[in-house]
Amino acid sequence: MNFPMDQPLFQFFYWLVNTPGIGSAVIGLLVGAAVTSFALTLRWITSAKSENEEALPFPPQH
Amino acid sequence: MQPILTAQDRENLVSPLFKFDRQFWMTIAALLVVTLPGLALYVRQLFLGLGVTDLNRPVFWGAYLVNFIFLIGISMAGTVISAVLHLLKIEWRRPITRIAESLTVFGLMTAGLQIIMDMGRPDRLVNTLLYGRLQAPLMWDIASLTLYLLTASFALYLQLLPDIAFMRDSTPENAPTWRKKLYSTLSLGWRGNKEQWTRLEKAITTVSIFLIPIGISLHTVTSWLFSTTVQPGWKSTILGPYFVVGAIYSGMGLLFIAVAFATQYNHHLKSYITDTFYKNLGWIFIVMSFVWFYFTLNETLVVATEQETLEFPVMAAKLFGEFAPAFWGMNLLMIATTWILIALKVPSKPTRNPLFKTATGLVMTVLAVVVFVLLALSLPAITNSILQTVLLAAFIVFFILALLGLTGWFQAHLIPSTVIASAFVLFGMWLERWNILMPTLTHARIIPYTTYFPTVTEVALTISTFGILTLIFVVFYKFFPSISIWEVEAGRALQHGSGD
Amino acid sequence: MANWCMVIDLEKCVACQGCSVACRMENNTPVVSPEEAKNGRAIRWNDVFPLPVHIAPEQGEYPNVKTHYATRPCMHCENAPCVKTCPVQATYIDEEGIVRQNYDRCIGCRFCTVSCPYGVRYFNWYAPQWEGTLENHLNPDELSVNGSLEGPAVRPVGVVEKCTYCVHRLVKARERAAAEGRDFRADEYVPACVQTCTGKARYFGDLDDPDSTVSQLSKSLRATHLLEDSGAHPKTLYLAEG
Repeated sequence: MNFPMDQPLFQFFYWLVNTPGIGSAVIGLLVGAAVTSFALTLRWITSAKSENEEALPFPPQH
Repeated sequence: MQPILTAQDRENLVSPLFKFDRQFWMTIAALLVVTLPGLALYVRQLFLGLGVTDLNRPVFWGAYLVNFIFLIGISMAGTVISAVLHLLKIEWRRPITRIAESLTVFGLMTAGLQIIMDMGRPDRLVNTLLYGRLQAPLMWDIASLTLYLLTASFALYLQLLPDIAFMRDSTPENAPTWRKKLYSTLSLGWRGNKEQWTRLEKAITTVSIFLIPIGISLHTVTSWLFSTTVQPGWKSTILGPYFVVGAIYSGMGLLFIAVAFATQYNHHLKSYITDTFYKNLGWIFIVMSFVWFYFTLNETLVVATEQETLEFPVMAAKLFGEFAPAFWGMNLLMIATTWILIALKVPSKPTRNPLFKTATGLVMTVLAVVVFVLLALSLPAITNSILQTVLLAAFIVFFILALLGLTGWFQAHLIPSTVIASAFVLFGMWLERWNILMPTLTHARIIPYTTYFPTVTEVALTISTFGILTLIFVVFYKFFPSISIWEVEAGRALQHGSGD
Repeated sequence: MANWCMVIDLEKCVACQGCSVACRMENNTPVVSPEEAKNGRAIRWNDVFPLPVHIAPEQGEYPNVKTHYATRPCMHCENAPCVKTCPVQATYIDEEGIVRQNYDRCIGCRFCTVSCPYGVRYFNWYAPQWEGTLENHLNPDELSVNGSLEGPAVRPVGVVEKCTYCVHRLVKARERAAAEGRDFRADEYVPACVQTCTGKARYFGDLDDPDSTVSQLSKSLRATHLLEDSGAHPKTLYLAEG
């Protein structure tokens, strides 16, 4: 039976989960991606322009 | 077209936010009195070290971690109510979505506080940012908690956005300038045109879809703090789903209490949060009760049947050892809760039977509590097994008679009964977290058994935590409406539309 | 590279606790008050206790009683649960099989203490202090790895500590050999407990060296580990009684 740690792919995964700092980097990336997407979403929403500039108090019923 | 938002609505929902009256300052003062002693004791803990707690070897984790898991648990309320009910397009959720979501955000914030309180070296917190190891379950927890907090905050903000714009446009003339500026900055130039609304709704739906797996992941990952170890009582494969179920259960309890508190604090809210909400969510509460019992039965029965040498001392401590009062107390609280919730669904019939009188119920409650305390204290006078059996039988009889007697009162008082049931759930779920942590820690395999009881510092910090949670809640809802105004308007429009 | 291992012969151990005392003096383990000790906060990197722990240790009637004791350093597990759960790598397995502890990086979350099935880890609940003249007898040795404290020098409050197989002695022995321009030999390095043991019940050496004492003892019929099936693959070997 092939023991996984003999293969370089799993040795890479082991390095990935064991090295201090990599975990922080991964979490930092996830958090950064999340915050960026939130900021972009907000910009996408508030920059919307409609031909009819009437201010509605609630979403238009479809 | 009939106006959706009437002047009375504005009086109910907007005016209270600008009234800094006596009730507000008394509430803040009371909360500060409750919160500050714990904070002072925390500073003392920072200087002296964690020795001021009752933590020892092998009970290295105690009240702070129990609070941590408990607070993470109750923050599931927002996700389930807001996201799931939104995606299912369930209408009666509309008045309480804001309270639900904000509970998630505030609960997670206070949960993070617990971890910092529990660390031996909080000054080295930055080490987790510099040297974080992905293999450690604690890092998964940090990742999940941060992601969930950010996403839930974003969801809250998205759904708050139209109301912030509403506040910006409705601020009375005599309000301070900084407040007007606050609303206009936070509203991000929201104009409310058709395209903006369409995009907002799309964004809310998308975030709701993401919130559900992120929320489930947080509770699962928290359970993996325990189930990935090799300690008896913890290395249970069911712990992940068990924590998720417990989270939804306790989150709903907190939601009921928060809503009841909000409507008591501002009576105007009662016209928006009607009995319908309590009745409808009550059904889901009953379902969660049974699901929770199902999981608890699984967990207990399997280990108790196996009686594996190294596992059984922990289970025995819970079943008939020193954790029996906590374990059976938890189960009894949940049974009482389920009874109350089901009683509320059964139409009440007036009866002359003395068994169903409230007075009988109260007397039986007192008797049941007295017998329970007697049994729990394990007094030397009652080591006689016949006497213990009699007491146990008496307790069961008193307990059932108490529930029977009070049923009529429960059925006549929907909201107080729901609050009582919710309080039982919250207390029971705190005990459940206690029962997961403490029996395993106090019954180590090659260390003599020890005991643990929280000290003044830990109790004060627990009280402070809930004080902080309530403080944030009260202050937040002084600046932002506690009812989602635009959602209520949309709901009314739908009703009028279908009625026309 | 070596794979350091300790073998303890329980047949020879007389439970004199000389090992525990030597460990305390070598590693500057702080003392605690009697109340703290009763509450389970005493720090004993090497602990001597009755085994099995939860059953009445004495068998038979006085004066024909029989008691079993074990002496327990860190197991230095090959699949150490503590190493797997540390979020900041304040504890790690080095290349020679010793589970090390970095006191400067530890954040005191105590996840490792809770993961260890053997209870070999201890926490500094208060700032360490010594009573009376004990403070005059601290071991001045200090081991720093990449600027972080890992050796027997006094630890601060709020960090976890445990037996390190006296790794500072290993570093010292290696440095001495290098200074004297010769090769380091495995038998130049023994932890304090092994050196002190009254009954000569403790052995130490390189498990990977087929000629070493520990390697040959590991093949004994009496060789066993504590909590063999914990999944942690403990390395410290015991030679069972009888």
